[in-house]
Amino acid sequence: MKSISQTKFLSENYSTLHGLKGVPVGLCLLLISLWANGLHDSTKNFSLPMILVFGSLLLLIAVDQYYKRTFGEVKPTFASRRTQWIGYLTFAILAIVAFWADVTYNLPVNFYGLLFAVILLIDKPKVTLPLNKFSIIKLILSICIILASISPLYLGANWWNTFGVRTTLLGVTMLIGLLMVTEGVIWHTFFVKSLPAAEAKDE
Amino acid sequence: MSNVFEEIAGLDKLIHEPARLAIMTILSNSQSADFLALQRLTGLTSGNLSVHLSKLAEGELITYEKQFVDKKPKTQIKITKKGQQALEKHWLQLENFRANVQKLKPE
Repeated sequence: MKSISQTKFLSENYSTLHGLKGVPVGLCLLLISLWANGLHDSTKNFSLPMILVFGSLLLLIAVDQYYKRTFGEVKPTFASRRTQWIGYLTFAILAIVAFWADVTYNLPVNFYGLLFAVILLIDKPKVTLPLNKFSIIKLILSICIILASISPLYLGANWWNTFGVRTTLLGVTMLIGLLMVTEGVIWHTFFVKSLPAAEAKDE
Repeated sequence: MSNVFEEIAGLDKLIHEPARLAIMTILSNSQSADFLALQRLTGLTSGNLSVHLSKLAEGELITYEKQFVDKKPKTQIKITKKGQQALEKHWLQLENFRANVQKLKPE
């Protein structure tokens, strides 16, 4: 059995530690930005992104069911849920504003990526030792996204073209998608390893 | 100064048992939890967990709420108000005990 502080941490953050839930979202972001990168001006067929979004939703539902069937469910307190929803709403509004700023002003900084990096830093579960590895992963990912978001400042405005990526926004979105998938898998591994070992069954 | 050994004897044995303390801690930090989640978070076998949950329910520290999800029965376990108060009292007793033990330490 784990210590009381570790048990408390795991129970308070049970659903947010289900890392695989980020994989469908990350995949969706990555694949849609890859599709957008290959767009020509004459393209008017949006069926592929719609299929990708729908497929991601189905995958998300499947992942959710996997966690419920394998690890059970801990319903967070009302205060926790309220804070989460306020957070999601705030992020959605800020993301729209950041996206608008990125496509309207041709600045050498990607606001959408910077917003995501900030959210990664503040949206971490309150950790107690020795579970600080959760915080470290988020910090590393945040730094990667920040560096990518400000890369035109030190690598030039068109450096993304080297990789066949048309704009910083597309490049950063691809990176965010890829990191979300990676983070999700790592997070899930940490979650599973943080749970106490099962008692030997009585004979 | 109160006798620390009397304080130890005064601890609620129903909550103080490590497995039950873990269960109560999980439930006090959530709205509810199902049996499988409690099992994964405590590492207890299903038999052991059932025994501990029964004892806590007998002491009216937790309640069971049966729901049907996709036509399958699912039990949600919640801490009661009495359980929340008992847990807080238990932590307070342990803190007071610790403070008194510190005072007894030879200089």
